[in-house]
Amino acid sequence: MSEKTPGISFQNRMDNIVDDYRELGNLAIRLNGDVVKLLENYDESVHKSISAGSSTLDIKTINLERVCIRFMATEQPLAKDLLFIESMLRVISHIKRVGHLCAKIADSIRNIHEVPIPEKILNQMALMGEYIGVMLKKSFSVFLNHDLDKARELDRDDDKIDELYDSILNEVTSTMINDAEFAPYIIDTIFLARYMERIADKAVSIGSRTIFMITLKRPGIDE
Amino acid sequence: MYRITAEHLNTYFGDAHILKDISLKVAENTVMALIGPSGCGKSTFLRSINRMNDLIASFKLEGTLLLDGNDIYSKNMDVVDLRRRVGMVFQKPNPFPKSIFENVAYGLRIHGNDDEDYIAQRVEESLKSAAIWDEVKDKLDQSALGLSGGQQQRLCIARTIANNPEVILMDEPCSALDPISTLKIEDLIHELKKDYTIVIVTHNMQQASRVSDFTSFFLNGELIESEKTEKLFVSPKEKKTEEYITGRFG
Ligand SMILES: Nc1ncnc2c1ncn2[C@@H]1O[C@H](COP(=O)(O)OP(=O)(O)OP(=O)(O)O)[C@@H](O)[C@H]1O
Ligand SMILES: [Mg+2]
Repeated sequence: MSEKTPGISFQNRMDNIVDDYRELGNLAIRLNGDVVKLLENYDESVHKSISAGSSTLDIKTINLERVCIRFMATEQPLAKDLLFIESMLRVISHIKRVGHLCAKIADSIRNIHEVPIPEKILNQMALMGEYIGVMLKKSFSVFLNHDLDKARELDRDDDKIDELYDSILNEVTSTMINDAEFAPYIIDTIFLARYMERIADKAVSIGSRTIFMITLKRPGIDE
Repeated sequence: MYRITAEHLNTYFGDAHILKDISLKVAENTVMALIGPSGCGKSTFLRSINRMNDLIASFKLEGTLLLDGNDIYSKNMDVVDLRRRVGMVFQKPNPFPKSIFENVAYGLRIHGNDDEDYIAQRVEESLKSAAIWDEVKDKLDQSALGLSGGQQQRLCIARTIANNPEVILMDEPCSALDPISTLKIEDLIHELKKDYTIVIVTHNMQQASRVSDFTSFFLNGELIESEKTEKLFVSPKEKKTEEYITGRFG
């Protein structure tokens, strides 16, 4: 026997928690992917599916929180198990927020889908969405694998998002200046880009929490 | 200031090398918990401090073990006085088949006290310190064996306190007690550390984390890690400690 294992019940319950966590992560990634699709081509059924997915994510998060609390009460995990479960509670609440933001983005897209938004802005937003998808995947796996190096990368990945966000903002501003009648419609795209940028922040938060879980230090503040 | 200091302590039962090169300090008015798997030497370490192991013919000790800087194993050490200064509470409460009062007075009497007023006063103080006075004050002359297990354990703690010890050693003091009695003993430990230094052996990680300031993890007679309790249970330095406290062991 090489791998040392805790009790069978402990391990099974931990495995179930990890499975549930993976499910939440996959759902959030799917929602973000749907958002990108919706940007490219508004489709009411996709919009509905994003809203429903966000509600499902809410319920599944609450359920997993209950499971984690019961696990702590009955198995009394210590050391890295304790830190993992405690961080799990925080990480899944970030994942839940990703769902909320996707639902808000979907609503904003509905508001503007009949407005002829400049191609350049739409393309940049789609690019941002795809990039965010990569960051989400990375953050979810970084936490599960206790991957300190990749967790630190997420903060740098976010610079790219900020760049795209700034460039979208510039584009929107110049469109509004050049075409003032257009302004009331295009303003929604600012919210939209802002929500997307906040999804990326969630990925960064998960990375920071992973760093804290491993080092007990807040990245950039205590270290 | 350190109450207890072990430096390169080695102990043997015959040829069996039990404690291996233990260096460990216990500061005054703190609680030190000793944890580790069965047979790792926790009780042996505890019993070395008040020379209880001397009762075993094959026992041998090398290295240094100090109480307040004085060598516990020096020829000049008065062992009777040492055992007054270092009291011990056992796993199974072991009151004498005497009255509650006499159980506590007993220690005072064997240490030569015969002033009955003083004895009565010390008995009351000790029972109060052990948080059992209210439960027994109206039946001091009744047999101690009529008390519950948890009450008996607190009575034994009172008996230890009566002698004004500096150190109290506790070897799994709650393992035979229900959760409520256990909590009472744990609360008591918090109170007692204001006046005494406590070393407690426990197999219950939660108990160690609740009552102690420092925790030492023993494995196969070696001291693997000694740390602030909150540090040890959250982020232990040693892999072996981590494996033990998270149950990934053996
Ligand atoms: N009187 C004795 N004679 C010989 N060997 C002994 C004696 N007492 C203890 N030992 C041995 O010393 C080792 C340490 O025993 P000790 O009682 O200190 O372990 P422990 O950590 O207190 O275990 P437990 O958690 O089961 O109480 C064990 O291998 C034990 O067999
Ligand atoms: Mg023992």
